[in-house]
Amino acid sequence: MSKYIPVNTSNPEFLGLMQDIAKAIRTGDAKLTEKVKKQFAEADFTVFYNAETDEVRVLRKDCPPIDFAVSRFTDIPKGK
Amino acid sequence: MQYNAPNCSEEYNPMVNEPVKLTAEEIKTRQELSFEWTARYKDGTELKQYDDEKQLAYHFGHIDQDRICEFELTPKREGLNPVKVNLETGLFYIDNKPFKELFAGETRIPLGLFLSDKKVVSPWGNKAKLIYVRHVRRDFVPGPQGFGMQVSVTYEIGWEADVDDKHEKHVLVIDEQGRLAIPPTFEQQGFKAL
Repeated sequence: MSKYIPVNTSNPEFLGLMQDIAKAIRTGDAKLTEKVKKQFAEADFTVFYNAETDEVRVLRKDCPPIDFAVSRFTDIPKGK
Repeated sequence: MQYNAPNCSEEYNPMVNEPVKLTAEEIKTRQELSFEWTARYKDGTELKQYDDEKQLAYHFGHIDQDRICEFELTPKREGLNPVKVNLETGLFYIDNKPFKELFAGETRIPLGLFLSDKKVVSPWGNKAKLIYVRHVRRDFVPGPQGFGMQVSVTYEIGWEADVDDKHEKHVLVIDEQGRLAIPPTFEQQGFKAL
């Protein structure tokens, strides 16, 4: 049975995942990306990234997608 | 936004409980809408988004997804047409007439998929799963008396299912002026899977 994590940045677990994926995106760390993707997948999430708008899209099965600005979860500036 | 979460318990789908009273806030929300929905069930009964007689408001989670066969957006303003999707035929209807294609310039875009004599499977059994999302955008704009708010609402309506073992998703977007569009794919919006 998959794990339930609410799409809510007040939820520490979801916040942690978003901070990790933001770091992975900024640093280009492929290992970290795969690790966090797997953690998202355990909660039935798929994650997408829009390089132009610098947004992460979180899609849970059977729910509309929700977009978040990457800059909200990391201090690492884009392009570094 | 409204979610379709067939495998979630009530704890995760808090809308599947009692209808909401038509409070001042609900009335204010209602005023922002160009369309109100009606869910029609196989037994001929229906559930409307607002029950004026009992002064109640229903949300997506109140719709019985096992029994629904048709979902209609009824306009509240003049000049707009009702739009509905039939989960048994797989087709869209504008003003009760089948609407099977859109044209983007010279490009013909088929709408819906006729489901008769096809094997249809979704989380709700041997039927298409309803998709309905109300997208609400609120822009805060400066004005002479401080900040005002502009609201724009678009309505996404359609269905999703495995049809003859192939995943199909057919969705239409309607704006407040009744204009129709196909929602862009994630890729078209610039998103790539991580």
